[in-house]
Amino acid sequence: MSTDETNLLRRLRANDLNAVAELHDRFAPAVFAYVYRRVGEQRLAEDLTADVFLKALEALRRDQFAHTALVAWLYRLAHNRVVDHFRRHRPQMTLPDDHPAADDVAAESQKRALHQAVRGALSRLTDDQQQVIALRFGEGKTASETARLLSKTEEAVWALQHRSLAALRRFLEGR
Amino acid sequence: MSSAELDLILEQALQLRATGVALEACLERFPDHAEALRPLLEAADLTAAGLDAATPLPTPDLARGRARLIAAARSSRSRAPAAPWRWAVAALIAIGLVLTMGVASSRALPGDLLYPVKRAIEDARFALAGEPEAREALRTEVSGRRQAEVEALIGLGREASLVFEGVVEDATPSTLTVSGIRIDGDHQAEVGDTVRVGVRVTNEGVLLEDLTRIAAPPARPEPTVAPETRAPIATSTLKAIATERSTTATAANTRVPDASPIEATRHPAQTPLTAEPTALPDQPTTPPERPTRAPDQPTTVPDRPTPEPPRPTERPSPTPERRRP
Repeated sequence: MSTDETNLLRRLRANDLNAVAELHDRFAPAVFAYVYRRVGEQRLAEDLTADVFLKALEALRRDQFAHTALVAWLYRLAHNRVVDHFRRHRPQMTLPDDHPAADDVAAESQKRALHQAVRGALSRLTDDQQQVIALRFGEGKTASETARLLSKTEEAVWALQHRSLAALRRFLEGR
Repeated sequence: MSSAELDLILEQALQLRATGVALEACLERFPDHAEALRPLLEAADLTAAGLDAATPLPTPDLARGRARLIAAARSSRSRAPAAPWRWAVAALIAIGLVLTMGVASSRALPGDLLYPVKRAIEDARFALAGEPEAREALRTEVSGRRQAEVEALIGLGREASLVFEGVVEDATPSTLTVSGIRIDGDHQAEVGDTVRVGVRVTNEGVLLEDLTRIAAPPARPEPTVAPETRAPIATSTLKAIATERSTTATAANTRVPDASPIEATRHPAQTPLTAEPTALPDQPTTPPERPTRAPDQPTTVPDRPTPEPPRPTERPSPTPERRRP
């Protein structure tokens, strides 16, 4: 953890309001992006992002922070919040019929169906697999960036993405 | 081929796809693994499409969440239990306050807000002083304070009553000097007596209200011829006090209702001045210069022309300053 983050964490534990604001301002856009890619709805993503930071604040009050980097910890909290959301609102997991779109409305509908199918399939992966896929193919992070955010080796990320894509393929084909 | 090798080849293929290389072209780069790679790369494409990776993010409205977060932080801060170090700081502040009050009260004079604190601290010190020597030293110190207070009150022109102890350094029938303080009032004390005096500091001077002889001067070496009775000395009632405070200027044989620690430590030989005859048959010696009386003589002062009627045995309403030295 950088000195900057260590200092921020110390102030957060002291319940410094300016530090709380700084935490949100620095990391909320990234957390929102991660959540939005997973849920695909702006308002919902905003609400879940707010929940993530409230959860972070509560955990800091209980001194439950045990991570190498704040951003990695926040991604983990964001992932947990998304998983919790999908547990309550399970999306469908099969791909829409591959018929050509009759018009824009139909195309949009098919696109939404694809989103739902992918997100539904994603929700069936393990936590680590979901995070790797979300960061690699949702956020566009490289394998090394993903490894750093998840406190893993690059080799571990390669293996995780391999197994995840194989599983996603099976889920999306309805097998 | 091991799984680890395929992990690496998949990663290389994904990097190519990320740079815009078409799927078929990418598979041609890895002809030996094309069959295994194809479903994985297609799943990757579908996943990226399903996660809208290519679509720019909407501009989020994060202000609401920020406001919720700040409000929650503010709320939790107000509910946060005091950490142990905060209790320690509070205890230090309390101790500092008590010490400060103690120091401040040491300069208080009768009538000041902190004067009762000063007296309470003195009482506590008397209660804690176990050894007779320590109590005696403390008694001397407290008497010195009272004398200093009298001098300070005189300097400030303030009126107050208080009691202190000291040695009679000079005496006339209507004045006496105790530990350097001149006191006006009729009395029977003699030079060298250790006395406890209740005085009223006024603009006209220091008026005697009460006098109790604690100890006589050291006896001279020559023995007395016969056992004598030391006649107690009646305390004079001061005219000024009698007229001004008839209820408080009383006979000196009265004990102050709430005896001070000093009184509690009074030596048995210390004789309070009484208005009633009090024979002391077991008194072995009397200072030679002190006039002696026959046992059947009245114990009131002989030169007093008209003995005053018996006085109440208890002080009706002692003023706080006169309660104890």
